[in-house]
Amino acid sequence: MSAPRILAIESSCDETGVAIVVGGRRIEANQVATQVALHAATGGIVPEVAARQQLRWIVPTLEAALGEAGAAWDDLDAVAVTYGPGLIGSLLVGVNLAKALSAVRDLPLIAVNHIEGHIYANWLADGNGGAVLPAEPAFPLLCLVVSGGHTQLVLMHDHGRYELLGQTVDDAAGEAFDKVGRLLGLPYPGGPAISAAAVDATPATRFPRARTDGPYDFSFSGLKTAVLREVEGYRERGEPIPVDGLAAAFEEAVVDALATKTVAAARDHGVASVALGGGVAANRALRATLAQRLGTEGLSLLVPRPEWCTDNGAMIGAAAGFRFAAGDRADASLEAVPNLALPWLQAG
Amino acid sequence: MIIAIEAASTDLSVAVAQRDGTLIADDGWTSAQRQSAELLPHLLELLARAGRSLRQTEAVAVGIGPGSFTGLRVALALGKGLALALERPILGVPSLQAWLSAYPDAAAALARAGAREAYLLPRGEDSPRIVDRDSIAALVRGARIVAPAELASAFGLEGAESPRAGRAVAALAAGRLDREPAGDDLRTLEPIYVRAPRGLSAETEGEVRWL
Ligand SMILES: [Zn+2]
Repeated sequence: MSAPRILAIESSCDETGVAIVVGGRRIEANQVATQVALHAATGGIVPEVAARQQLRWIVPTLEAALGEAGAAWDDLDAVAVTYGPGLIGSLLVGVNLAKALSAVRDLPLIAVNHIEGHIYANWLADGNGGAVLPAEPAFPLLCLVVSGGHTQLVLMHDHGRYELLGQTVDDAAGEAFDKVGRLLGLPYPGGPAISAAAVDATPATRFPRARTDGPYDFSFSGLKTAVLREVEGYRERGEPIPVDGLAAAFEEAVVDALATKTVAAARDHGVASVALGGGVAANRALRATLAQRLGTEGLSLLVPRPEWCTDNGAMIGAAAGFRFAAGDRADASLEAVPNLALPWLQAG
Repeated sequence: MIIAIEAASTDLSVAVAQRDGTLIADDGWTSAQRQSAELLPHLLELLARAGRSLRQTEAVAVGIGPGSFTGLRVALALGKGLALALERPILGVPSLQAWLSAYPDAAAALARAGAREAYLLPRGEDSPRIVDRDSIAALVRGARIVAPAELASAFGLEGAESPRAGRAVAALAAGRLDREPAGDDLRTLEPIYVRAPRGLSAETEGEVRWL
């Protein structure tokens, strides 16, 4: 068979994504319906709201993707869907819609781990015709997956072979951005708001870096508390809160922690390449700092386009391309698994 | 042929009927947690047993609650996927009306609405309302009711019929199909939620459009 054309569905959180990806790399369509404006009204994601919106937007998004690719059902070779980790109510929508499509159209069903999707975003390329695809990331690949729900350092030895080097012991990096954004009175989501506030500001202080037991683990809850204490200090003294300066100090501390451990892991494991994945990968300070520090180690940083970093269907189609080739198939009894982990190899 | 899915409670059912609503086959079972794993396999098995294929479907009927958010999400997502890929109409059928239609002697239908409340639809009324568990006994006054077994047992309701009403969902959909051959809007069809999610204030509720 020539490269499979896969319809890929992502509905694990508050983004509804449907894409058509050929051979796990070439994007023919990538449509995303986002609920950010809605969650801004509630100051964060309310799971029941997110799930209801998934059900509301899944069909229009899917039709838009088929339209963008000019694809008919018979042009498809498989249906892929995120089955975890994520919010159960949101996951259920994509999983069950995908199962129905697969049953009616006799298409193989590929179940994809959302984190694997974020990693495989680094394999994506634009779909334009006969253009030569860029080289694939080389193994061993170190991937820092950072989003509102996840902060993990994953060492990928080969397709489907993952070793968990470290992860957050409390809040995910994106979650910390949202919480601190709220503390500073910035709009939701916190990530872009803090970056915007920090961009021309001098850090108002230097926040302490957390110590963790694991050499590549992260901790952000102490940092959040430190920001809170600073804010309270200004309030007690009746001084104006230097929102931009605190945002800059907070962002600097998060970026430093992520970059320091990523560079250490890259050096310790002699990796061939380093990649970013997840919504926080869109953070410019993180990209710049990490690229600069990896450069001194003779390594370059792979970063997917911003629209492939936030949740989307194309990244699920990319991971599904590999899963399809490996012969992985799910069936009509596929369930959503909110706390799904990658199939970790034992360290060593 | 019409295929029907009813999952507004832990008593699930699927049915296959003629286009005029005459039942071909149905299946009912209880599942509190595994709606996502079980609904589609049960429907596919039912079709196989009836010697029918999914591709023969002329319309997809789905019970739209109110009731279990999880069950309704699974049923609606399946129903939308089936209708979309089959390129056939979808029809949302209010679940409690289907339950009452399946049990002509019952005076009211009740579905769970959280730990201490239920959605109540008395026969003859159009829309369900939310009632506290302590007020249910007085409201139904020993009449026959349709309610899922787990709710009847949790709230101490006696003589409740199980709402495995996939066949009634199919029949009610058949009745509508003649008048409305295009069915409901596949894109916007949603469960009957009755109320906004917890955590939304009255203000945000205004910004969030539900029904
Ligand atoms: Zn994500």
